[in-house]
Amino acid sequence: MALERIDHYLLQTTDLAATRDWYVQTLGMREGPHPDFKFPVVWLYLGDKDVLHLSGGGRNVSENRKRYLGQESQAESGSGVIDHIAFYGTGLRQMIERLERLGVPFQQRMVDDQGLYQLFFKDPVNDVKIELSYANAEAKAAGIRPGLTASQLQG
Amino acid sequence: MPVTELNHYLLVAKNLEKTKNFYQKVLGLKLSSERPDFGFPGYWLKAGNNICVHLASQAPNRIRDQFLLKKHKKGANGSGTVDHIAFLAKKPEEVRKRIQKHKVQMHYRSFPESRLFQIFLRDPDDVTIELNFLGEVIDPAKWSGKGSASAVTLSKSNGKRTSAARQN
Repeated sequence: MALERIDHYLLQTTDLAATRDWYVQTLGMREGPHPDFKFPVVWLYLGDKDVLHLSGGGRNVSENRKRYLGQESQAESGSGVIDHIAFYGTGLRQMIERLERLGVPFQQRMVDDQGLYQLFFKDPVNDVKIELSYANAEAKAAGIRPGLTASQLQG
Repeated sequence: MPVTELNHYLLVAKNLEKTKNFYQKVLGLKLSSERPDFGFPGYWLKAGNNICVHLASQAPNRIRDQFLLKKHKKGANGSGTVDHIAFLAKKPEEVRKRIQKHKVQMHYRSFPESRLFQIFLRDPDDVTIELNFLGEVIDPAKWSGKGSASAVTLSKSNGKRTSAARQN
């Protein structure tokens, strides 16, 4: 059981288009496919990997986004616009057991059409939100079910 | 493709030891012994073979602020404790031209002994982005004045603490 790598980070921005354009133009990222979360998102890729997720931020974020992801802050600039940082790993069941043993509260989510199973929780010292992504197949094999799936959100 | 992959993030922790313990115990990351002496306390943590979390402390430290090119106040919370997000990149000249073309201010830093060159810039929401060019030995003098601002270097002399100095 281990986390293998940093996977992506999510920025919440008051200007999705301008932020997308900046990362595309300045850093050479490419806009690519993303699941249907029933709230506006942009996924930006380096090669074949989505490394940066953008969603709306500030005061007027959608209810669907709040239901799925919550909202960590209404900051509109600086690193407070980072909603979470994600890692990818294997060993979902062991991680859930570990979090339960250590008393770390967490939420479970499933992105049906991406085959991803997600755990969200806070670094309790700094209040930074961490996402752990696992293959859905692991959850299915272990009979683990999420609290909410992306497809349950109303369009 | 010049910017190639996501590499790490740096978190300026309220409590460095507790934060290190969280990443080790809860996330199972491994402490790396490869962190150089930056002149300020911190840790590098690995997932698999990848050093993907850098930690520093919120305890006041002038060298840290010089090195990170910004002041960190005590009491930051949530993702406001993240100092920067780092990527690996290739072809520094190409990247510089692209950054200049879009009139984005950048800082850079050369570590010739480590064969590392770095560019720092801010995204539209003021998030700091670090680009790491591994294996690149670049004379910082050749980069000065071309749309890029000054950078900082670390120097060490025998028996002395690491100090930060302007590179150009």
